[in-house]
Amino acid sequence: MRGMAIIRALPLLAFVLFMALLVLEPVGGFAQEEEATAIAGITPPELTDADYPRIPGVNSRIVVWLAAQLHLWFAAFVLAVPIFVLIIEAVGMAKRDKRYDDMAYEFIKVSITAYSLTAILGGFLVFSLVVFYPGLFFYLSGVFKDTMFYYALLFFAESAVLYIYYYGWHWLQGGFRKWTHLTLGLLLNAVGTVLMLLANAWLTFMMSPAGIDAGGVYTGDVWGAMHNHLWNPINLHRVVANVAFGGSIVGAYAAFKFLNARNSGERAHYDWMGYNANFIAISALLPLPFAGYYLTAEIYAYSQQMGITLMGGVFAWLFIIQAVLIGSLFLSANYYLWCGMGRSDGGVRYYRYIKYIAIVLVGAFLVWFTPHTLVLTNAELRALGGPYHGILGPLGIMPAKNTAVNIMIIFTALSFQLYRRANKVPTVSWVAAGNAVQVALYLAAILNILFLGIYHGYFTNTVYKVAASVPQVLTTLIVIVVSTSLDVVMYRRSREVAPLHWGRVSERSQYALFLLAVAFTWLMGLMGYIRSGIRQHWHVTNLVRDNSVDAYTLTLGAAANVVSIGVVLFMVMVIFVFWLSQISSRKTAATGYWQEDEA
Amino acid sequence: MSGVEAVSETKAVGVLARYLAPFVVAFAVFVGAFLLLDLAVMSLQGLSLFLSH
Repeated sequence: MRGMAIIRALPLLAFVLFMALLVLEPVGGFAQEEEATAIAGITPPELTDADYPRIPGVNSRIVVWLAAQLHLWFAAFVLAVPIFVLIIEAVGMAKRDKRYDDMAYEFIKVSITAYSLTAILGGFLVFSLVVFYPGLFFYLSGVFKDTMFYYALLFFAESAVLYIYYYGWHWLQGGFRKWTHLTLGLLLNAVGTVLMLLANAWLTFMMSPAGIDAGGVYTGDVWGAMHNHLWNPINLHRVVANVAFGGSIVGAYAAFKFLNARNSGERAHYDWMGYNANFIAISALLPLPFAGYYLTAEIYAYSQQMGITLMGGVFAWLFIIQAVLIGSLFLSANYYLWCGMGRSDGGVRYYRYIKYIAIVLVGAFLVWFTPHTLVLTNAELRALGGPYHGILGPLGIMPAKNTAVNIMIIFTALSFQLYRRANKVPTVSWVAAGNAVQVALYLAAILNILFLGIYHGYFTNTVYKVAASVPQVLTTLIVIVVSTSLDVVMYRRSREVAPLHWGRVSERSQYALFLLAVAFTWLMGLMGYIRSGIRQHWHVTNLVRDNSVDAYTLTLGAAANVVSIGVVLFMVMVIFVFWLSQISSRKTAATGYWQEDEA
Repeated sequence: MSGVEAVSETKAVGVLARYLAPFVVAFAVFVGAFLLLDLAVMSLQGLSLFLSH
């Protein structure tokens, strides 16, 4: 119990230290500089090598990178889990089905230990910044002093609401109490979202600074600095990505528990939990590429140079790795759904379609990660007749990628649709016509996506090429909405083939859930590096130059290695969290150890 | 016409009525709707570009 109390106290402890750090009077030059800037506005510091303290044997850049990345992974997880826990709890209330309530409780239970780790890593990040990048840190804390202070205060509110929400779960049951509990969940999400928005303002200010005058001096306009050009695109992208990531991590938890299950009841429970986690992850994954396009378009709109560095320059090859990872996400998510059809006796009716969906997915996957330019030797260049392959070269540009990803999303939606139908038999009289309309919808949409991608992508100028991606996205969304709505009506009074056999699923499918979690984690690490790396030799774009010895862009291999080390560290910590959850439910009978009561 | 032929013709008509006709109608509607969507979205983007310069 004492151990648990210490764990519970850690977030508060870390943030008391964090707040203490913020209110401390800066020493030496910074104090004088702050006094001066309080009157004349905050000027961006011109840092020199002396402004970057070093500890022998420690690479400050890697330490801050890993601390920030690990903090972000855990923060994303603990912010996302309450979002879908709230939804699952509300579904349980609406259906009066306690299984949902139990599942929601188990999800939030996993996030509690992760919450402590988030706070510890946040504290570690702040200390690392203060130690290794004091000039930059005090500049940013000068600009964002108000938001940083309220951020720290809000963390108290977040912790308080989270603990009442979790520890009061079984106390606040039934009638008005349940509504109170649900409201607490809503409040928890509101506070968590505000925390995320504040932190997003700091990092987007570093990419696209605002609230400054023509000379780069901060004018004191807090809202202007927060509401910079990339703030909302990052906000949107992070909310969606966090839910997808959080879903995948709890999916891995369910898989972990499924593989360790001791009886069929536990297998059934964790299979059901894994299915719901996968559903959450994929529901958020489907709109994620669109949020990513929006963010990228806004990066281009803010600075074409930054955009070209991102997708046409040194970072472009990392997008090939990104494509491989996202492709593996889609393949593993679909594979999990196909395996899941085995839970139903009616699933066999749809098995024959799986191979066609797999062929399309693999084809689209191959198009997606086909590079535009290749890393070639001179001999290979001569043999190829140039840097572009004659047939595969055209597949390297964005119209082909957009087309491929839209088709992958549509076919993943189709896998979902077949899964949902697997255990149902429709009873409406117009089933044949309804199916014909569904086929027509999918076919017309795919033709439209191909037309937009091929015609506008290759036979018109760049303006149309970029513009055509918007109706492609809308076409995909229309397919998902219309086909789902039509199926809801068609299967309204359907009958079940047989009761679903939860737990009757292969162990391979559980490894697909693990793959999903690892791929999401790796992807977030990689894209986080890219987003941050496109500032290149600037701490704050065009304002605060990075004059440290680490102010260079890493080779692709070195960057990928750091991301991989981060992923391994995160996974070790996550497995630790899962293991804690496992041992917390186990009891050992210590017969003869304790003194018996002599009554 | 033999009985077998009559049955298969009836089946063919049934398939046509149940699957093909709704498919053709729906396909035409969806293709038209998607083309209109393309036209509208591309035009709006063009207009936005025009007005912003």
